[in-house]
Amino acid sequence: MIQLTPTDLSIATLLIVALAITTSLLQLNIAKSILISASRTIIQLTLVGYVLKFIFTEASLLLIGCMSLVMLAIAGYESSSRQHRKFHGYWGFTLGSLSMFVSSFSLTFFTLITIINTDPWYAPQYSIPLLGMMLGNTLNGISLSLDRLTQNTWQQKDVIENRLMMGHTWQDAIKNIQVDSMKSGMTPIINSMSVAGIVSLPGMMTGQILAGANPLDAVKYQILIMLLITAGTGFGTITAVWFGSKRLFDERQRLRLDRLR
Amino acid sequence: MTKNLIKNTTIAPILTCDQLFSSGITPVSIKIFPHDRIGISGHSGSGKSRLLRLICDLDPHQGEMLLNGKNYRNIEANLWRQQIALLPATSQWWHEEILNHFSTPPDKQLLDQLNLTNDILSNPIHRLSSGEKQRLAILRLISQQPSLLLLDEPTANLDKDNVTAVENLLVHYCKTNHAALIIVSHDQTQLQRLCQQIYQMNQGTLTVTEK
Repeated sequence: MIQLTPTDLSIATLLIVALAITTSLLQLNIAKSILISASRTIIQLTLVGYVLKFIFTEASLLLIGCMSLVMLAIAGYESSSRQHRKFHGYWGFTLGSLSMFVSSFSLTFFTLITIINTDPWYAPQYSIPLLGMMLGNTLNGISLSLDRLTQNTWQQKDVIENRLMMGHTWQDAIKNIQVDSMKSGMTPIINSMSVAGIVSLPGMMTGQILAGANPLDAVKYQILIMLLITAGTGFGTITAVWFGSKRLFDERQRLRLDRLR
Repeated sequence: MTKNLIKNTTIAPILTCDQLFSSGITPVSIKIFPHDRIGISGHSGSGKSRLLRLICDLDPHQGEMLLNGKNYRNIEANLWRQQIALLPATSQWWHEEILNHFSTPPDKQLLDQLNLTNDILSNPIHRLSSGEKQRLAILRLISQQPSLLLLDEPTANLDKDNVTAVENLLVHYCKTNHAALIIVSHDQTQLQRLCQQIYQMNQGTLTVTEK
């Protein structure tokens, strides 16, 4: 692989500066956020490069475990902070983390020990990037579906309560919304599966090809990843919507919107 | 015949509320017997609808409630609400067609009584007037055979003829099913016509008035 020098990256940085100047001339008012987020990308990725280099040489299970938990906690926090109507207290964070733990962690573990067969099973070159991709994608599905769940429940409060007033169970009363929320969480990943390779070359595959891998090997990994993140997103979304909607009702099957902010 | 039957047995209440309250509602103790028709009047925001919600167990509350002598805690919430069903002031509809909202379609005779035609059941919701929706919501509620009807302004959107039709239907329903009803209404004359006992709700406190 051709090594990139700091000069190479500076040239790319100049493009961003040019973009920032252009947008400010056009009075788009986003030059500042372009520059800040570009700096964040550079700093965060550089740091993570060092962290990964360290973890790869150490290859200790404890260290990898800590790193994965930090990744999970950040993803859990992100999933709750993206909601328009959040659950009160730690519930949103717990719900997001739990759903991602159930789907991403278990599927990554399963893949490492049965499909890729790494030795040791937690080999960081495989486990960390795999987990990262799983978390990033399930995060999207889970936050989309929870957002839809809480927003729709809020809007359709009267319908749900009218059904309860007639003696419907809470499951019947929120069924439509559950179905809708689960679908909305899974739709993006289903769409990207159907255009993969035609409209877009997935990032991981692109990276492997750039690094000199045989395109056919890269494709095999990409297929594996696509299928895994779809399964992860799907199961994560189902878990999140199920527990989330259960939380919207109490033990007397009353709709409890006071549990949302 | 039914009268004799009732006289000769001690009648058990359908619903017993013992010190039922929540924030904004002072404790209410009341017994509702079969064939009771109870009216509640009061200003908007006085807590009438909130009380109906408490009895239907839709809001958290303190105090005890018994249905046919059985504590509400020992009855699944959805089964409680099938027996003690609430008609909200504005009815909600969630399927495209009216008919899908009924587990058993209402028979022609009931529709006739409320001046509705059979064709109306296959209409999409958005074609109906608010008065038609209101009458259909009443049919939808009684099709589940609750033993206590909680009615929040059931005739607010109706013309005079339909108000009478609904009132007759409700009285008839209670008679034939040994059911009871609690009705919230702003129309004092309606409560006089319909109810054996009228309560007044004032800032969350329920007091007996005349009759």
